[in-house]
Amino acid sequence: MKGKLIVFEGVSGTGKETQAKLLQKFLATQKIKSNIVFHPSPELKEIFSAWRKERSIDALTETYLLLADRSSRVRQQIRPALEKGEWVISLRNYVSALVYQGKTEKDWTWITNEFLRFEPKPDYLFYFDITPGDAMKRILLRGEPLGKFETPTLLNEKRKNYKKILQAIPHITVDASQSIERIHRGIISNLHIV
Amino acid sequence: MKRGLFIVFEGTEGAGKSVQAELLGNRLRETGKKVVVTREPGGTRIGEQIRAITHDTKNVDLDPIAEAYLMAASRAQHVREIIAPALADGNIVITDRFVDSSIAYQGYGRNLGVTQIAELNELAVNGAKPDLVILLDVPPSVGLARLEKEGKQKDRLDTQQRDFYDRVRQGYLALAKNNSSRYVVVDATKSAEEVASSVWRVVRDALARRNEESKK
Repeated sequence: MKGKLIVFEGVSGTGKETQAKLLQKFLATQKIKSNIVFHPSPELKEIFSAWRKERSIDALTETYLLLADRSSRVRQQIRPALEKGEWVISLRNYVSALVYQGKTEKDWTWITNEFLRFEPKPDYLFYFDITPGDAMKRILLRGEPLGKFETPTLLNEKRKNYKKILQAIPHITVDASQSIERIHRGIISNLHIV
Repeated sequence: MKRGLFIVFEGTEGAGKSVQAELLGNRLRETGKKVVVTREPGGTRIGEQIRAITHDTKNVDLDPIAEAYLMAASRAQHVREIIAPALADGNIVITDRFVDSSIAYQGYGRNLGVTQIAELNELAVNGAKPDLVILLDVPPSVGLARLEKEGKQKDRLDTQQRDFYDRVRQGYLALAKNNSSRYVVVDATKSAEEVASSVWRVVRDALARRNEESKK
């Protein structure tokens, strides 16, 4: 595969989407075409929020739906783009399923094995790290209804999970409390393209 | 409370699974048993919404692997919301399709690998093992002709090619052979009444055996 797969991970409110757009613009100046993809897809995200409202979905049901969603996305969009030499910036990948749907280390092994049946290995995985307090401030600034995991306690719990899970996965930590411009420059310098 | 009995109907399209599940359910209720009749994919509200995705003719390009995960999603919800609680409550649970449908359709039919599909479903099933699997066996041509005759709308699963259905049927027969302690194969080319009588004998024997065992 000629293109590169970049993954941005981290709890909500860390500025992943903003950085993805900036990176895409920068890559365009380097004559590199890139695609931004979301995990879960916006379609599945909508289904989750509707279903969570009407009744409880089992975490495992969610994991299977994430697997169905991502396996389609990889086959229909991510692999074809990479094969054409385009870059793909993925907002989250299976690491999120480990953090949000996995409860035990046994779950983590199973979830990882299932995703790795189809998920391409990222060339770069950036973990956006932020304190729960700072994350909440940014989430509230968005002015959107709060998601299921968007409370200070849960954000803190998820941050701990990220740190534990990422011990076993190569990644670059981004201090997401910095300015947008500074984070952007930090990401670029790690990509070694210029 | 004594765990209930878990009965699964399996078979290809037009084998008469849903009819037989219902007839059996009624007959057991007449004998005073507590019965829950359910189906897959579906069985829960979330499961039914997933069924709408997998059975939509617009989704002919649905990846086989994505399809396998969707079925497992529906199953995970089904086991936790319906099957496990009903069994724990002492009910006889009758379901139209369970995990062996995935093994037969995705594993054998779509050649995704029998072991792979079994592993993929391990957490979804969560130890809910059927006590009795009734395979309603019909040649695919007979089953599909039945559906056509009934004028049932052809959904996506019904418009696939013939060799796919042949692989599914052979897959089911292999499952029955390899799990002979819980599988019973019933010739479902016969009339619904005749099939229902065969099914009833099988279930009556299973219940009798169970009573014997609990006396020991």
